[in-house]
Amino acid sequence: MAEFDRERVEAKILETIKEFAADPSAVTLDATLEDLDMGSLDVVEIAQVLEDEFDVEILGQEREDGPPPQAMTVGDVIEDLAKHVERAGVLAGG
Amino acid sequence: MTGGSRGIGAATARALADDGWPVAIAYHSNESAAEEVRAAIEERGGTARTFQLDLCDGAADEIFSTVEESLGPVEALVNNAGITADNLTLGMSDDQWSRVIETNLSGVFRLTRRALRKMVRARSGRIVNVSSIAGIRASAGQSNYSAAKAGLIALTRTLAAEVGQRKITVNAVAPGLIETEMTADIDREVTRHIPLRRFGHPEEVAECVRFLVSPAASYVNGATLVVDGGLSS
Repeated sequence: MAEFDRERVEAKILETIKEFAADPSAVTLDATLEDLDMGSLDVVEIAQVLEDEFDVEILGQEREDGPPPQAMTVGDVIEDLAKHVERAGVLAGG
Repeated sequence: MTGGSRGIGAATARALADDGWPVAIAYHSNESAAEEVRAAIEERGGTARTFQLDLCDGAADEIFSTVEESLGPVEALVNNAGITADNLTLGMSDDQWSRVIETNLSGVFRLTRRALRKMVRARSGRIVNVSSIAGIRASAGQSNYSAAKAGLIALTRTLAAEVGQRKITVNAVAPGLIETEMTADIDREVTRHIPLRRFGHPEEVAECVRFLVSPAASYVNGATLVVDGGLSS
């Protein structure tokens, strides 16, 4: 991965959440995954999409303490995954 | 298809090829036996490739990518490879314990995790884990093997719950005493405890795996199909 471009990463996460959500119009930063009928498998799959898109390894990184996936808001997911991408990029020397 | 060069694995590779699956035959050390299975499949008009794979050395990801390049996306994974290192627990070395757990359980975990990457994205896939009745009932002298095989049954159930929503099914078969190299030294006297009064044939287990990866088993998920002639009944 080249330089960490937060804006691009966050946009990709939001785009992927909309792609996975049964009702993309319900995706707002405050909506919880439970509201969107999404769960932990979706978060893992979004992480996988990010790995492929940004050529980083984030699956397997231990998750910091936080709310259970269903209680996370879209904003939480974006922040959490963007942090993982940034960290992975740094670890990879990008 | 791991452990595809001999016994249950070889019979399953042949059965799946008969159903039209291109088969990746992963073997650990017996290249010539794996090649024989490949040749037999190709003679019948099927497609097969052989791949050397050591489930303990962490190269599973790499081998898996090679399989994908060679045969396309892996739509079904049969985790059949397994070893034994029997001993009473009291006399079992750490190495005997960990070798069996590493190959029979951790190796399955790693290969399955790799396979699921694409299956989850594809919203389809079949995984069959070859467990054993040793994972269901006591098998003195095989605490390592039994623990690994019981672990496989638990792994199967858990995976079924985790990825069922992506239309992926995960099931197990639990063979009893089957005529393979692994059971060659077992006294045939034991057949008096088997209601069918005989050892099973590898093909009889292969048919069950064939069913579980077929469209006919589309609603079977998280199950363990016992194939033991009634031994554990």
